[in-house]
Amino acid sequence: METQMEQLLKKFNTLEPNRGFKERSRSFILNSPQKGDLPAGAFRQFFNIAQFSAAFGLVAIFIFLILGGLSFINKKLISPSLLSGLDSQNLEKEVKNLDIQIQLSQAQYYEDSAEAVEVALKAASGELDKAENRNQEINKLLDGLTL
Amino acid sequence: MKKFLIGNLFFNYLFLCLIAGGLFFNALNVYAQEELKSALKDVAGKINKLAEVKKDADLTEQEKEQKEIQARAEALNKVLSLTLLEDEDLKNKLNNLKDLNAENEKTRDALLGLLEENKNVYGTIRDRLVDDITPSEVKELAKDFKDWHTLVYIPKTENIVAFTLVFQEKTILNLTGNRLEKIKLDLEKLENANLIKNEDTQVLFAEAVARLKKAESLNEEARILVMENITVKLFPMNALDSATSTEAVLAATSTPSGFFGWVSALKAKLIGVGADNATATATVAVPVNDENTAEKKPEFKIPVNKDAVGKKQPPTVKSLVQESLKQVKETYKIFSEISKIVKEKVGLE
Repeated sequence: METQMEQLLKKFNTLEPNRGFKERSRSFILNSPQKGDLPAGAFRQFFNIAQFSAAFGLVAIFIFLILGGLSFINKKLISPSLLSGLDSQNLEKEVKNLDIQIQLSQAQYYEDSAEAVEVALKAASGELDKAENRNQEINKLLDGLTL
Repeated sequence: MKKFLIGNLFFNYLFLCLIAGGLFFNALNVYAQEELKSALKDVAGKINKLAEVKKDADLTEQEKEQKEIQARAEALNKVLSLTLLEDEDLKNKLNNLKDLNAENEKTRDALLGLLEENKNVYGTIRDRLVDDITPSEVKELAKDFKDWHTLVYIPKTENIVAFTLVFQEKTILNLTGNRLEKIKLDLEKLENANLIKNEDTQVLFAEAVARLKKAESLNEEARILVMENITVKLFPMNALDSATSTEAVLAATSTPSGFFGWVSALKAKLIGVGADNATATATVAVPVNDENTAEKKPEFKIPVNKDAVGKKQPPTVKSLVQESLKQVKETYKIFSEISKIVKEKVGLE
């Protein structure tokens, strides 16, 4: 004798989804993304993690440079070309170029020249001859007095 | 940052141009000096030749007289050539002076006019220095030349040399002042970057400022003195405006004939010319503009060299400029010391 349960189960055997439901389900299953093999997927995941770490690391380095490395870079930036006022080579060149000695020696030249030309013109005019003769006469007189 | 770098590069370029230009004129100056010294040696050589002729016992009286005339004439020619070279040198020095104000330019032009007047004398000398000149004529010419040289030429050249010395030094003082400003800016940059402290270089910098001010004050004193001398000795008619020199006035008004004739009259009138030129003393107080009176800065007193500046003898333009240039040299030594200290502190090689 069939039980009531068995009669119900026989009824459910004839149950079917309707056509629209079938179509929707089929297209949903067929269009969903296919997962690859296990090894390629793992690599891609690892790469994603590495990318994130690298970006994070770079940011940390830049923060370090900005906060901690400024004084180091400052020293390198304060080069001779930017401190030209204090550059010792420029100072030396400038002092040499100031013509201090040349100007003073030029002034001295004109003093020396004045004296030399006066003597030369005295010699040319015969005044030195007269002076020499005068000196000789004076010396003769003095010799006469002392002897 | 970009503007700063560009500005700094431009300044450096300008400085390099000034230094290059200075080196060029330096070379020309040196060449001119060598030419003058060579001409002076030639004059000495001719005088030695004259002395040798006089001592030469192998010559007859007639030969000796001929050779003496020749030697004297050659000596006069050499002195004339030297004087022409000196005139040219002084003209170039006057024309190369830079950054003169209107008053100083007028003085410069008046001094150039004085050098132009010398041409009258040179023409007269050449006319008289003929081939058949007699012994007495050559001696007379030499004597007239000597009188003119002592009474007119030397006072002119002394004051022209003094004038150029003062204003050439002014250019040096401007350069030094620019260098001081650059150093000041550099020190401020370093202090702002916390690479050095103010007290590291403060005392030295203050000393440099004080020495430069002293140099400028001495230069100003020299300028006043040279202007007084020029006005009193070269333009006693107070005629810088009309550029009428003593020489021109006397030449126009005196009665003795010929150019050298009035030199004798000049000799009588110009008492003390060519003798002691250091009579004019600068008694004008030179105001020193102290820009730092409002701030407390370390003071530095410059030890004054009393031997060079007005002990018993009044200072001359040359001694004042010499003392001023000494201060400039000391200032540059201080700049070098500051540079060394900064390099040590910053760790630059």
